[in-house]
Amino acid sequence: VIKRPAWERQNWLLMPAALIFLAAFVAPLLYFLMISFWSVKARIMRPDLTLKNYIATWADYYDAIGSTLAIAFAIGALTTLLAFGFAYAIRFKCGRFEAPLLFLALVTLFGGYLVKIYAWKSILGREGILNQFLLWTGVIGQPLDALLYSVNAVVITLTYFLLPFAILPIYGNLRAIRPATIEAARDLGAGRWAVIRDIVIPQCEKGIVTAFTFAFLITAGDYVTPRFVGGGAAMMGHFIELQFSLGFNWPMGSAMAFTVMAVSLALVMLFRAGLRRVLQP
Amino acid sequence: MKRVTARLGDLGWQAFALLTAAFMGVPLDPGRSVQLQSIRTDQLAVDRIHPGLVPKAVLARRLLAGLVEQPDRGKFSLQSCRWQSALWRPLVLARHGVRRAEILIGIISIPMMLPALIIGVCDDELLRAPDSTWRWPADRDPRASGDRAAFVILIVFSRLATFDWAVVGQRPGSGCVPAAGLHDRDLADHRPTIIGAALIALSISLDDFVITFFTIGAGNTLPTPGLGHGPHVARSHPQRHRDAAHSAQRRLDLPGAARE
Repeated sequence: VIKRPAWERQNWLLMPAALIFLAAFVAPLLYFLMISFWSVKARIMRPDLTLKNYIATWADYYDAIGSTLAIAFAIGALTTLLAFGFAYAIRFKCGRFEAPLLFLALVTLFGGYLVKIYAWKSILGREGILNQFLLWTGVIGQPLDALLYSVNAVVITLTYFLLPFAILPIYGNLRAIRPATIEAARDLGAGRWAVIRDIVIPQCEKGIVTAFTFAFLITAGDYVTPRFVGGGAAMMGHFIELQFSLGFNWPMGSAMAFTVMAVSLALVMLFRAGLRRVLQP
Repeated sequence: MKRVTARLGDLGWQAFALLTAAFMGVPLDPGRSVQLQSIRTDQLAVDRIHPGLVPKAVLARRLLAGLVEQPDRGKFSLQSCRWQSALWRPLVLARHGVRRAEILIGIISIPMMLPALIIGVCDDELLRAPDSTWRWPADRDPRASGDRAAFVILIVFSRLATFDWAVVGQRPGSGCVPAAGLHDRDLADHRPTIIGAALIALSISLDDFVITFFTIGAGNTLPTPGLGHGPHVARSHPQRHRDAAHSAQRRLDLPGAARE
C-alpha cells in the first residue's frame, strides 16, 4: 500500500467542484422542483402545494411525451448503431485510414450547432442540394417536400449532430481491445459475427451505453432542432420552452420538464439493464 | 473462397466507414458558404474582435464552417470557458477508491445528461435578482459551468483512472516537495489530456445556443443573433414575435401531430 502525503489525502480539491455543482446546478434544480408544485393565478406564480401541474402534463401532453420519446429512442438507436459501425470499421478494418477518419469525426465536433442545422436546412430544402441532385439525375420529377420540416429532418440533423459524441466513447473502448484477442478467437473457430457479438460488444458495453444515453437524453430535451427543421414535429422541449416564454406558466413548464426528465432517465436505466442482460453469456 | 469472403467483409466495413464519414463530411463542404448566405453574416459583425486574442484555430474553424467570411468579424465570448476549476476535480476523484469515484462521477455527470433547456432556465432564474433589473456582472456571465465541467472531468478522469500512483509514492523519497511534484510531474504528465479537455469545453461553450439564449443579458455570442435576440435585428423583433406566437399557437392546436 502506498502512503500518500496528508495534503493529498484530504478532499479540499473537491471544493471548487462541489461549490459550482451546488450553486449552478443543485440549487436551481431544487428551486424549480419546488416551483413545479406552485400554481399560477392571473399570470402570477403563487406558492402552493398542488399536483395539478403534473396531472395536467400527463392529461394534455401524453401524446407529445410519447412521440418525443419515440423520436429520441429512434435517434439514439440509429446514432449508436452508426457510431459502433464506424468506430469498429476504422479501428479494425481501415488500416492506415484510421487516423484521418477519426480526425474527420472530431472535426465535425467543432462545427457550430446552429451552423449544422442551417447546413442541413440548405441540403434538405425544396431548393436544396439533395433535391437539385435528384432532379438533375432524373430520379424524381419534381422536388420532394417531405425532406425538410418533418420528423425525417429532425432525425437526420440530430443524428448528424450526435454522431461524434457517440463515436468517441465507443472508439475509446475499442482502442482497449487488442487485435490479438480477436485473432485468437478467430483461430479458435469463432465466426466473424460471433467475434463481434461475444468479444467486441461485451468489451465496449460501457461505450455503447454512454453513446446511447447521450443521444437519447440530448434528443429528448432538444427544442432548437425541431423548431428549425421539424415543422410540426411535436417535441416536448418545444412545449416546455413555450410555457416559459409565451405561456408565462413556469410551474407548468417545470412540471413538464421534470416529467420528461424522470421518464427519460427511467428509459435509459431500462436500456442499460436490458443491454446488460442481453450481453450476459 | 474463404479469403474472398473475408476480403468482401472487410470491404463492406470500409464502405460503411466511408459512407458514415461522407454523412459527417457533407455539411463541411467548402462550397457550403454559398448555401449559408441565408444566415446573413453581416448581422454577426456585432463588434470587432482583436484578432490577436482569438486563437487561429478558432478562426480557422469558423472559416471552415463557413460562418464568418472575414476572420475579424463576429464576436467570441471566451468567458464561456470555465474549465479552470474543473481541472482540479479529476485529480481528487482518482484518489478515491473505484467504487466511491464511480458514485462521484455519476453525481457530477448528471448535468451533462439533463436537457440544456432545463439548465439554462434554472440558472437564469436563480441568478436573477428579485427586481429582475440587476443582472450578473458583465451581463453575460455563463453560469452553466456545471455542464461543461462534467465533460472535462470525464475526459481527464478516464486518463487518471489508469494512472500508476506508485510514482507519487516515490516522490518524497526523491526529495520532491508536494507542490513542485504537482506542477512538474502530475501536470506535465496530464498536460495533453487537460488541454484537450479544455479545448472541448471551449468549443462546446463557443457554440452553445440554448443555455446562452436563456442566460444572456445585453450583447450576443455568435450563435444567438439568429433568433432576433440582438441589437441588430431589434427592428424586426415584433414581427418575429408575432410569427413565433402564431406558429406556436398552430402547434399547440395539434399537440400530437407528427407532421404538418
